[in-house]
Amino acid sequence: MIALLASALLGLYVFLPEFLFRKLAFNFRVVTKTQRGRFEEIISGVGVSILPFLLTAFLSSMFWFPGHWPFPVAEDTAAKYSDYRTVVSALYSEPYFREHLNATWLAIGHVRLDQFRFLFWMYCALAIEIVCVVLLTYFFGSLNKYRLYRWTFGRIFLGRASHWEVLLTGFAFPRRSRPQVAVDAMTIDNHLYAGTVADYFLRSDGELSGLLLKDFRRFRLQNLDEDRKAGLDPDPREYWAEIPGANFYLPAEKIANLNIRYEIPRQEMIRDVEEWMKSMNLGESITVSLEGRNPSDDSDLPHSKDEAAT
Amino acid sequence: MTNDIFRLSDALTRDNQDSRLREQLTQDSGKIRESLNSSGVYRFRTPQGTIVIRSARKRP
Repeated sequence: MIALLASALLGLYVFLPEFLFRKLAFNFRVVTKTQRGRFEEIISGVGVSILPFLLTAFLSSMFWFPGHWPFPVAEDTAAKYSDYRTVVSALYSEPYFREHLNATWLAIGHVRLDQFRFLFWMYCALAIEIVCVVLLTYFFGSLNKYRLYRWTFGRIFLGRASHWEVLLTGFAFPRRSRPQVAVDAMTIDNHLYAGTVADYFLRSDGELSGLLLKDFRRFRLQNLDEDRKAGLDPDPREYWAEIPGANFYLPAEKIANLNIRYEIPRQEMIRDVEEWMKSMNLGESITVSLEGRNPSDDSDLPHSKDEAAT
Repeated sequence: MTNDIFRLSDALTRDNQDSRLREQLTQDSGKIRESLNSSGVYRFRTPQGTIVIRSARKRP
């Protein structure tokens, strides 16, 4: 009976808060490189629950309302402790339970309501904790310059964040200027693809399993090589070919290397240039536009097959 | 001591396109002014396309 009760309390006070926290608080991919043991799970759960627990205990003892509502029990503190003593004694000793059957059931009823009330406020505090963590993670790009943030929130909560989240999303940049993530992916069979990252997938060990690209193109490297050999003077920018389709999945095992770029969204780039032009005081008659799209700078492009393969 | 995630984000944001764009504009400010005054247009390439700056009235 004691084991059953201990398991229920462990579940309600440690595992369920940790589960809710893990599901709701992290809007980035959390990675555990190795499978966690039971002990680590308990430590992690205690870490999550400790603040809501302490806050609830403090508020319940200091203020009447959280200490009595919801599930009110009309008794003073001494009677409450007596109820807990009765329940613990009955759990330890069956003869005690049999001898004080009515008193034990009454005490169990009071303790049950007391625990429900405590858990109610603790889960409210947990919800506040989750909201705080979500906000502090959401504004990582703006807050990460502060030493206090790095040493407190960063060390406690972001230690297990996946580096792929930082590399393949705009996570590291301030919210107001989040860039698009563009990649040039060279595959192990010497194909070069370019596109913007729509999503990425991780294996259970935290390593990349694949990339989902949008606006993707393939570089016709072979044609470029052939034209070069034929003595032509080809412009590499003309060798990008659109691939029909809306989603392009690239398995990680096919990727030899990735060139990752963080591109400012087109409208934002135009706005930046407009603002900069205003600062030059050239009058009101300046217009800024963005024409075409160069798939990549010349410098990003491979100039020969050997170079492309490296 | 900082987490890897902070080192990585520092490295990524230190040289981002936004700051490079501003640097390029600052470096080219003389050329931009000259081109706008003479031909009324200045173009420069970015990975997203060609930025075209036009001045409606050319200055003498």
